[in-house]
Amino acid sequence: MDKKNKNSKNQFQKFGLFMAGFFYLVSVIAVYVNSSGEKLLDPSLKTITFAHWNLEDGFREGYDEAIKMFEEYKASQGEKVKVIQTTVPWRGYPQWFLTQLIGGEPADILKLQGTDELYNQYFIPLSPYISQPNPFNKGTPFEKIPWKDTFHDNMKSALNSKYGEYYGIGAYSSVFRIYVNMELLKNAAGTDKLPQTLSEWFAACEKLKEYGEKTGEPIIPIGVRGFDKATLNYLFVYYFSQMNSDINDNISEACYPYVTSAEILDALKNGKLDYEKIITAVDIVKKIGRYFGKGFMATDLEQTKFLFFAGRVGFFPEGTWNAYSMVKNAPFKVGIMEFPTVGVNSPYAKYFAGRTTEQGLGVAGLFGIPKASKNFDLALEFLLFTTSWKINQMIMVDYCKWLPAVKKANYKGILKYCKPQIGSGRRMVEPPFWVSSGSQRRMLESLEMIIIKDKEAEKTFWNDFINKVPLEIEECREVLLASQRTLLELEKQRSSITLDGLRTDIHPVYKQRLDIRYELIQETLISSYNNIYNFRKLINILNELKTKDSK
Amino acid sequence: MKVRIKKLILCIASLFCFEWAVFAETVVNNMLKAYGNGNYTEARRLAEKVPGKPKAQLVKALCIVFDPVKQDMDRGLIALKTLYQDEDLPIQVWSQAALTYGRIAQLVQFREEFYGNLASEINTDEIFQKIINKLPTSCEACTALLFSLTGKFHSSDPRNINDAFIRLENFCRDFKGKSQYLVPVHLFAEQKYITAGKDYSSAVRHLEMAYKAGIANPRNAEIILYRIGRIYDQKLKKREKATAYYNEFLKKYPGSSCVFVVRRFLEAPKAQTKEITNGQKK
Repeated sequence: MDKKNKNSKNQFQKFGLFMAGFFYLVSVIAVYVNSSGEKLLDPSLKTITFAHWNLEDGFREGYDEAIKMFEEYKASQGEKVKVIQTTVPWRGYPQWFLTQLIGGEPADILKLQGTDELYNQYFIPLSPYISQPNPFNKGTPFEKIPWKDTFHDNMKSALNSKYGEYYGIGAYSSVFRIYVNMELLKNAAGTDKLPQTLSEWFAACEKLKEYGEKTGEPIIPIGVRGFDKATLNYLFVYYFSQMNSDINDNISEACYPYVTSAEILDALKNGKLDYEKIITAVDIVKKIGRYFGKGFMATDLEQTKFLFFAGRVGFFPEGTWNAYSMVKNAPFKVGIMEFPTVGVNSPYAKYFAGRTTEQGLGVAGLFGIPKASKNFDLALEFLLFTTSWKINQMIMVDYCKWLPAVKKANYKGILKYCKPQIGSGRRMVEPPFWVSSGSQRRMLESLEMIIIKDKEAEKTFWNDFINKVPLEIEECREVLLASQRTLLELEKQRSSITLDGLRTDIHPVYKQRLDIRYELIQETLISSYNNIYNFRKLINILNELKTKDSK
Repeated sequence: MKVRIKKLILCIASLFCFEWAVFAETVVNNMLKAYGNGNYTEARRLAEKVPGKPKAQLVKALCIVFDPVKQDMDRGLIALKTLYQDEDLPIQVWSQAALTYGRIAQLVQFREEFYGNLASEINTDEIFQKIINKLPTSCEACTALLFSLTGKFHSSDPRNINDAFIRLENFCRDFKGKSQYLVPVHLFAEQKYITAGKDYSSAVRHLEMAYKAGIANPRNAEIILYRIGRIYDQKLKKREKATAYYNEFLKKYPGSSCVFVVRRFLEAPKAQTKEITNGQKK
């Protein structure tokens, strides 16, 4: 009996081991087949991988459709091709991206992120291809136009000045808008008219607040991305610009279309600018902040989206990359509006300079091809395909409702509300209260405290700024050190380009490209000198500010 | 018989020499390519194969200075100095060795707190002047002038700055090479005329010359055209010239974020002046 039991136990163990081995083998094959794009089953199949972090609604679906069309096109050419779309959430993407590159077997097309040095080391320069027409634009208005001139920024944003090269091709653009729960607005304010001015916006928020109190529902008039301070940052920069964009016209010492922090603070110090004008945006943001939810500092994007979809949020300022998911997932009608302007009767009207323009915005979402890619030609063809006039619009306009990268795009549906606006023909102004991410975070924290503790806005903010000037000077010195290193890097680039040009087997077209790169590097050198001059000037002004000027 | 053997040996020797020359040239080309791509390990390895070639010597010296893994400024400067002092080197190689030698020495001098007196004895100005004298119409001469002027403007001595402006103007006036080579010099000049001298008239003259010669970076080209118009309008009060440049800007950059700004300047200059003084003390 014992022997029989033992035998059956042994057999059972053997069977278990066999099953474990079998499933291990199956999973190895499945993983291999999946990662090689079924190449194992069909050796003539060429596979490329396309990776990014965009999990927003419609983005992957749009690219899925483009992939399907690209595969069909290649099949019609007698080539079996498979494109695998891989997505990695943003939080893990930087590490994943670096690991891919260092590991030596990266995806064939990667969405770029990281430093210029990384691009130069790991990505193929694309400048030889951007001056040729995109073959997938045949039969469109861009049939004979160079690829770079089919983008609405003529690929200006894609140019890497430090290396004088193009390492990535852009796919889309974005602006900020406010998404509105129209049902809630109508119930609370009795109208579905979207507020145009700050006072109308505040009045609508008051109504939402009252409605929440009346119905016993916890209503948040304005939902924000508080955790990463993104909304606060945008609101502050936007209203700072509405108040101060006129200084772009006449403060710049060298007549640039923008002003530097040093120039703003210098004008302030010399009495050419009013202190109130510079600081008014703090009070505006404080007043907007009265309508944020309690504990807004801890709410992230997903939580606020959840609250919005649950009908608890009236207005939600956010980038247009989320427009489609806001409209699609909300069980109510969603309105999309621009940021309200300072009205004529507003106490801030005397400083109002105008709405800033959204024209001329750059193309973002750069996709590059790593040097380690084994399918460069196919990867490049896929990039050409997805950025062609029709396909780029199909992905961006029809699927994910993002602003396309191509010129003469047809903005339809919700994109009509996201289309870049002319505004008052003013350009944004960067507030002079921060140098880099460290000081920016500190000043945004100061804004948060002003909102939470209902502190006297302007004075508190200004004094916080003055108190933190030593830290800011330290940051400026770090920037200066980095600029010194950039000068060495530029000399390295200059010598690399020149020596490459000393080859006797060089093609004339390649030599021409090297000459252009040489010119670009030299121009970047001059820009670096300008940068160094500006930071030195800023240090001097900050040094003078720190000893006095507390309010 | 002896003559035949001699001829055969000669033939084999010349064939060998030819093969060697072809091999060496391929190695040198690959080495330069590797250096150009930032692959210093490969560039150094190939340079070791043809140690007698001047280009290989240059690459070896540059690798010591620029290879982030094996960077040694001290040794690199010595190696570059040796090449700089060798006047028999082909001019292309000599000029690159001299330019980088002078520039690295200058950058090391600028960062005394970090490098100490590593390059304090080196007269960078003399190096750059020598390049200008040897190759007066070249791109290298313009780069050498640019580096040389950087040193002059870095000094706080006003005599140095005056001298720098004079040298700059003389150089631009006498330069016989391609006008494109001068673009960075013009851009540097306009920057200095504004920051050091508030001389907008000279600044805009250099900006115009740079613009006419052709700006490589499209972002810079757009901003420079805007600035020329703006300097004429705001600083020099030459409205007609400003208008011409503003119109050129609108024609060339219709998608720019500055288009509406420029239109404002063009359409209502007086009203505009009033508007922009809102909140700004006169």
